[in-house]
Amino acid sequence: MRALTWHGKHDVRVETVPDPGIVNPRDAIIRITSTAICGSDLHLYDHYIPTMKAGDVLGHEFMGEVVEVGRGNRKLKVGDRVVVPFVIACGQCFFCQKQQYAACDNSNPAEKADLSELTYGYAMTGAFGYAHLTGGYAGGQAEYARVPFSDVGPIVVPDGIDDDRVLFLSDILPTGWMAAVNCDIEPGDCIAVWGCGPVGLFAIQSALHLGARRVIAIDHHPHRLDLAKGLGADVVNFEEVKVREALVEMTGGIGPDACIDAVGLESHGFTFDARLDHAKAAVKLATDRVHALRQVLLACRKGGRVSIPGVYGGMADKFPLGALMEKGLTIKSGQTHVQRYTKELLDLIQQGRLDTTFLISHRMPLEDAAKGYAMFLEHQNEVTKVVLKPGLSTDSTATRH
Amino acid sequence: MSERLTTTTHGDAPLSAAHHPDARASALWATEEDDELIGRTMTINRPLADLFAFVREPANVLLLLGDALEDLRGESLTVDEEGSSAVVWHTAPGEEPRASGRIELRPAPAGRGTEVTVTVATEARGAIARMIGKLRQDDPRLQSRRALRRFKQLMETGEIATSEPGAAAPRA
Repeated sequence: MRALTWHGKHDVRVETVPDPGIVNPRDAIIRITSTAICGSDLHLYDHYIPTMKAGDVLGHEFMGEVVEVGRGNRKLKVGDRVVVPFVIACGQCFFCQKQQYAACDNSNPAEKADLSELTYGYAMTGAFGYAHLTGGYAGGQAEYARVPFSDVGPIVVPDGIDDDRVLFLSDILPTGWMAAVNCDIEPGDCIAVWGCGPVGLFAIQSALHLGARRVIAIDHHPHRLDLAKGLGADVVNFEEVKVREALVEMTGGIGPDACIDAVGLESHGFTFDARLDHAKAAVKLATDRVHALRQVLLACRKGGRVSIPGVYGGMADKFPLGALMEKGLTIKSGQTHVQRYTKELLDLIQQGRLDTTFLISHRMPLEDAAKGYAMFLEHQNEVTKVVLKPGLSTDSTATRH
Repeated sequence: MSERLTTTTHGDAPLSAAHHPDARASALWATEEDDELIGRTMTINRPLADLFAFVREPANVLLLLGDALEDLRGESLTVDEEGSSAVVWHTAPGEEPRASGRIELRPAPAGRGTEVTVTVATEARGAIARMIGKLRQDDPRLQSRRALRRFKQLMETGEIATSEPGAAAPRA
């Protein structure tokens, strides 16, 4: 089959690799019909995440048709159309029983789990296409994928609903939703969201749906700010204004009640601390660039809530711990417990109350995936989300939504 | 060299978590002052009786050690049951390496299943042997942790997790 494989910084290639097969009884094999490039894939593309190996297949936002089912799976049938959550959850461990599916104890292979246990204190869950820290599972930017514990994760979607409307149930829609849920929104709340990429946009959409009185969105790409405005947010361009001062003024001097960091470890910024972060990361003195998170912690009102869906992996320098403690902030974060939210979100999509298609800027054949990565990295204003279609002819022009 | 701890007197932590445990105080077959003691606990969401039925088989005791003590084979291992919730094992006198251990089961709180603690006492390895062991990944702590993790996966999900992609003929 054809698949997008990683070979180093800014070096991804669509190659022919062996087709996957059933290994464990609860596996299923999915023929992939749509698959997207995630902002966190760019951390792999930029080689920020360790434990990658040449030839690894990327991709963790995918859906398609079940073509093979292991003998231990009593839920899925060949022919079912499914969206696959990016985290792999067994359904039976302590964490899955608490619906903390992104903390599953049984999906990271024992020989790979050591890596994250050493780094974080306990082993991470397994996930698709995201380095050997998460198990080294082949990802879904491919024609086929092996899906473990396929009786727990994959969401069956009915025919008659377009791929583009449900694909993001795999990751970014529940990620934005969980980010908003983690704000513990109260009546009258103003939520500030840093980052108007797909996760930030879904977080804005979710926060308004969950009852936020007002959302203020922060970014510097004009097109992304327009998308945020279209959802109903007020917008702040950090290249033009001082963000913290703007937020004080826009919230009657109190500050936002809850703040969402949808930026993550490759934070951009033009201030001294941001430039220092870049410099340190370039020579490996630091791992994560936390300019946005510093701003979040300083901007949030006293006694407020901070929600961190943005991906971080290592250590941060100059972390305003004093601000966190002295202002009494509550922090909630984590990889998304996708399976916890998918039914509710699918219902909202089917009722027409949540639209996910507005942020797709490009659709292209899987064969053009390398170009898709380069575009997503270099033209973040015009390119908001790239959806890859295996089987689409390379004669098709990349379309703009 | 700090004095080795024989019991954690000012706390409730297990001896295996001490900075310098005296393995001779662990009720295993440790005879030398510098014998090493390792321990690891995991909670497995299955009834105690189910897990005990598995661990009381000598072949399964070896499985739970992983490749930690690769020279051990079933015939040189003595396995005894302690009541209906633990097994202790030791290598035959004179066998190299000298090793012993306990696999202990306790009901976990709040309906979480069963706590399984694997403790192993072995002859001291020198610092260099320890480093080499870690690089080659045959370090007993690492191997028994992996084996325990695989046991948990098997008992809770019926499978052992692998990211092997499997193999199939190219599909249309």
